[in-house]
Amino acid sequence: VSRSSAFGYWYPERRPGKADLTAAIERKPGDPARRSVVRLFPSTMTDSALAQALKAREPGSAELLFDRYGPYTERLIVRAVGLDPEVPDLIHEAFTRTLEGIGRLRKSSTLKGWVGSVALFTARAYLRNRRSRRRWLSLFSSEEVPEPAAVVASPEVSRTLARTYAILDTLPADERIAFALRMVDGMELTEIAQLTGVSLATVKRRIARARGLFWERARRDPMLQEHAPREKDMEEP
Amino acid sequence: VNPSDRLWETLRDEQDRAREQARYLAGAKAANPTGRVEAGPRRTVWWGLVAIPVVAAVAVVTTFWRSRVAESLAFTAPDGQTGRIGAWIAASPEGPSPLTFSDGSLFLLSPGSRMRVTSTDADGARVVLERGQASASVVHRTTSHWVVDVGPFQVAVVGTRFDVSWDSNEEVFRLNLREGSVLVSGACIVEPRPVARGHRLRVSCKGASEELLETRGEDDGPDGVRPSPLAADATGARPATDDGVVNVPTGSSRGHAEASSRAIAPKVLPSGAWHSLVAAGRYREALELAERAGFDEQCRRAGGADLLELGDAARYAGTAKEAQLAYLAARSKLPGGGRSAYALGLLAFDRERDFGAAARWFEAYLAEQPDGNLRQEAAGRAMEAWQRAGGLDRARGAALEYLRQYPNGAQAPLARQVVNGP
Repeated sequence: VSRSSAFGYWYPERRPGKADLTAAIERKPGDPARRSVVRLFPSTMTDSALAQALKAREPGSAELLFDRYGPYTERLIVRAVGLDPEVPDLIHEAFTRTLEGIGRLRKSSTLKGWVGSVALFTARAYLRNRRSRRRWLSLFSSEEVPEPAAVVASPEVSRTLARTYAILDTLPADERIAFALRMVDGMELTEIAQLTGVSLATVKRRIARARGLFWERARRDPMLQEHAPREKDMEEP
Repeated sequence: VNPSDRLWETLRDEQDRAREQARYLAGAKAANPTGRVEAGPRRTVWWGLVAIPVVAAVAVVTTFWRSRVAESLAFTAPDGQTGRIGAWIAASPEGPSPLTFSDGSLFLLSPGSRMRVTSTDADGARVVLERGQASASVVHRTTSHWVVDVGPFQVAVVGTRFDVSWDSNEEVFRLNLREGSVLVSGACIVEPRPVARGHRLRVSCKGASEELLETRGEDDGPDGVRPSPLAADATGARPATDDGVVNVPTGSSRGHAEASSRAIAPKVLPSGAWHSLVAAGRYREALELAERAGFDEQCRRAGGADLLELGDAARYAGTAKEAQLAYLAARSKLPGGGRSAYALGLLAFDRERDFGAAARWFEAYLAEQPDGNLRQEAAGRAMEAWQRAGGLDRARGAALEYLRQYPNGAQAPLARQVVNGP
């Protein structure tokens, strides 16, 4: 493999650039690589081996990482921030951060958890910034910052979901992420704790708080109150 | 099925559908990163040193400016345009016209009325009713302060609901308090007069009379007809019947309450009249708007899409009967009934708990709308409604059909449960 390849940025002498990363991940699996570079890694490569390859900045490793964990990262980010037009940028940023921080991954076998953690960390930072940005913009305009258009076609569902997102947007970022992963994704509490880097007790506390805040507001909304859980169902996260 | 589960399942399905349709991953590949990661701290330090005081200064100035100017209430004229201070607002001759404020306060102008908003601030506004009648619903806040100038009178308001009119020909001022209290002052009143809930005030400058009348009910007269001035003509017709009014003499009162009235004929509202209220989630007010103009008349003459929206407003406001009327009226005005059958199914399912009727409505929707975008929801609801109605054979048939068409749908787990039995 030539050092002048499109993936040459993985060599230590040059810091990866934006175009490099885009070029690395825009190839589809099995496609011939640009500039005569062939793919080095089989898709069956274990996570440990892939992590080692990433740490060694071996050509093709970033591409395989994106192929393997792109949908996973996308799912986590969408669950966390909703249908936001910034999702593609967030995915891209999450991978950039993953690759830059790969040296800090201690156990190579935990690559998936590392990718998920970085994705949620990226989503969390975005949620916090979005909140303060909206607050900042509201200084200049009395109108609400418009929500991104939903892709759903049904007006009934669209309105219900818009109101659901509106209430989710009022929750603190940490609580929102834990709540969304639990309720929308159905993720296990232990997995949420692992991905968000907090204890199981903290996850339970966050979900309970988010649940209380969410339904307190949703019960006042005529469109959402019919979805409110029964009191006895409110107790367990 | 826990009702909240359906919400989360729907959210998950829509997110997954969006992930497929929006092709976020493809977008990520083509994304132009923000540069936040690659912009190292060495490059940003000096920017930060400059930016922090600049941002702080802008924030201080903006906060100050906002406290002085930007927090002033905005308002929307009946034509949907952003209101301008001092501009003449003429109510439509067709029906009540809403003037909405950004804090949620609402003035419904009766046909032919004229109003101006002369000033606004963070705590309220000053409006002038030049002519005609208005029904006001002012949102109460601790700092609220509103003034309504009506002819030579001023009505000071903190937060309340009331109807007010001014007949410039007869020089008669009328006020009907429905909630809260107001303070009325003006040329023909010796001293400011508080008016409390359930009372009406009528002042005639020509006749030098002042009457404070106490209504029997909260809103309604003895015949159940709301004595809102919106039920009377804007050009000075008498308000609705006062048969249910007890005359409470005041210092300068004389005579009895007026006894005659002439209700205006109900008129159809312009298309989309309640759209902004529904969009803002103010369903009860949207419904009131239609009711004041004659709900039955709206059902007869409004367009199908408007009626669906009116039905939604009534359903969310918790008035199932009106919702049903609006949806039924919409059925004959839309191709295949539009989504009216689905909405009627929701009404029967969620509000009336009549699951048999709900199932039939959902199936009617499936039959009427072969390409409808609510088919998946309708199919799932029909199955669940049959199950709850005890029609297990039909529930099983609906479940099999659901699984055939939507094996990964939100209701697929329930469908499998129905098919396989408990």
